[in-house]
Amino acid sequence: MDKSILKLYKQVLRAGNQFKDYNFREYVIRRAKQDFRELKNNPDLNNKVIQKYTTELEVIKRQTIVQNLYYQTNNIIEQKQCNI
Amino acid sequence: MRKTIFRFSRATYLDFQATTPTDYRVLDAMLPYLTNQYGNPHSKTHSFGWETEKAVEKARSQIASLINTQPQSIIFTSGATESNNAALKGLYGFYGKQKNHIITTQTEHKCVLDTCRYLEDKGVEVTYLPVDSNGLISLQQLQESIKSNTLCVSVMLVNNEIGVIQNLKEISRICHQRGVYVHSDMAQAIAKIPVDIQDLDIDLGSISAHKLYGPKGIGALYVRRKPRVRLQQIIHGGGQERGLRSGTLAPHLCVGFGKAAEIAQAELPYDIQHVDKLYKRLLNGIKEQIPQIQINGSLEHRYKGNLNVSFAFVEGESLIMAIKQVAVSSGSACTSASLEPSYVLRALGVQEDMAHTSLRIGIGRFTTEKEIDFLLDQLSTAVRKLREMSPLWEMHQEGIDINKIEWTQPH
Repeated sequence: MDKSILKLYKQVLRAGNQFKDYNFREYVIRRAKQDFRELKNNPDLNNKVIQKYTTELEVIKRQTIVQNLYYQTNNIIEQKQCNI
Repeated sequence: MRKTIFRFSRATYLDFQATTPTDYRVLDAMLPYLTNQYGNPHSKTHSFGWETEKAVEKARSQIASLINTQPQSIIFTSGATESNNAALKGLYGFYGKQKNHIITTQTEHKCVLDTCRYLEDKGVEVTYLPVDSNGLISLQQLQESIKSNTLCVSVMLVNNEIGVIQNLKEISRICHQRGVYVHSDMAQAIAKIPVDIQDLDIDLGSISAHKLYGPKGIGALYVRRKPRVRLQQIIHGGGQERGLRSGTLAPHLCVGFGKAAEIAQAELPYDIQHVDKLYKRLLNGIKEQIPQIQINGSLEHRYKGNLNVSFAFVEGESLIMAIKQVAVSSGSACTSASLEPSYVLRALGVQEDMAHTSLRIGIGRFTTEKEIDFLLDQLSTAVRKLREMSPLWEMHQEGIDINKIEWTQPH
């Protein structure tokens, strides 16, 4: 895959990991993996994916800051040992 | 030995029918209008007003494009409840003198049923169509209920409690043949299943922003323009929103709603695929791990992100308390305050004891497989523990048929 696309992918994953909220973090990572995998199999989607993620990256960077400011506590799923 | 105390954790959210978290992208679109761009969109004389008006109109077109209609047909309201009120009271206000019969279903949302009760006091005749055990209305019965003075039929597209999808296209066809207006509460359907207004051919539709990962406090009413549907407004004032809903629009809410609609349109195939996958996992898990369950509502005509399950021989309130690390709901948020079992389940013909133990599980865009597995774990353990304590379960295990028991002594 093209180096610039790979770089964008890694940037999106790294930015997405900054979300403290479990659900948003999992969603961003899952969708990014899905979209870039689809791009690998189907290079025609190049422009669409690059366009989407260059704007998305800025949104994610801003929103990780804002959402984390108001973050309260973690999801029960994230506890290493769930008390059943 | 000291007991290890875990740091307080939040329950995992699986109640997407009650509301949905505001998507981070929606918040990002809203923030400029809560900070720097604070103009009133109806101010015609300066750039503060022009820029917010532009944003509101862009949001309107985003919502219109989601349901495949014109932006001019969308009226912003404060939510689906207001839209439902505006539609029914508006139609009655305009056409009520000649046409005063309304047909609706027994499983509608409380706001529609309460509005119909209010209109009954005003002299409107209301027919509440029953549903079969699958939650669907009979098109034959609908056909027979339509009279010469029928004003409109109000049927929700996707039910909020059981997730059943009505055959709205057929209902529209039947009604338009007889010159009857069709209103649909589409709040639970938008952004969950593909909704095409041109295809469904309805006259009025209610949409709620907080059901599609948008902000709470805003909704929309789709009002058909060709042929024109006339409504009497329920909120009078400066004539905003084509005279149908006066009041200053909240640009941040409208923009949030528009952005949520835009995201929903782009993500719909992925969301549907994701929800389907998790639904299969959930349903198979429940069927394998927990015996004696009942799914309420048709399995075929259903939105997969809404599963209403009843567990036999288990008490409903104790089950909800036992799985409090997962946020689910019993019945609907509107009826959960009172102790009586949900009227929707009663309309389906579900036995009272099963109606009391019903759980509504919602799956959404942000749900993960781990959350579903955690829910299955919690549910199977809780149900097993509660059943071990239940004498009725013991009797069932011994082969006694509970329904044949004489509980009272003959005098």
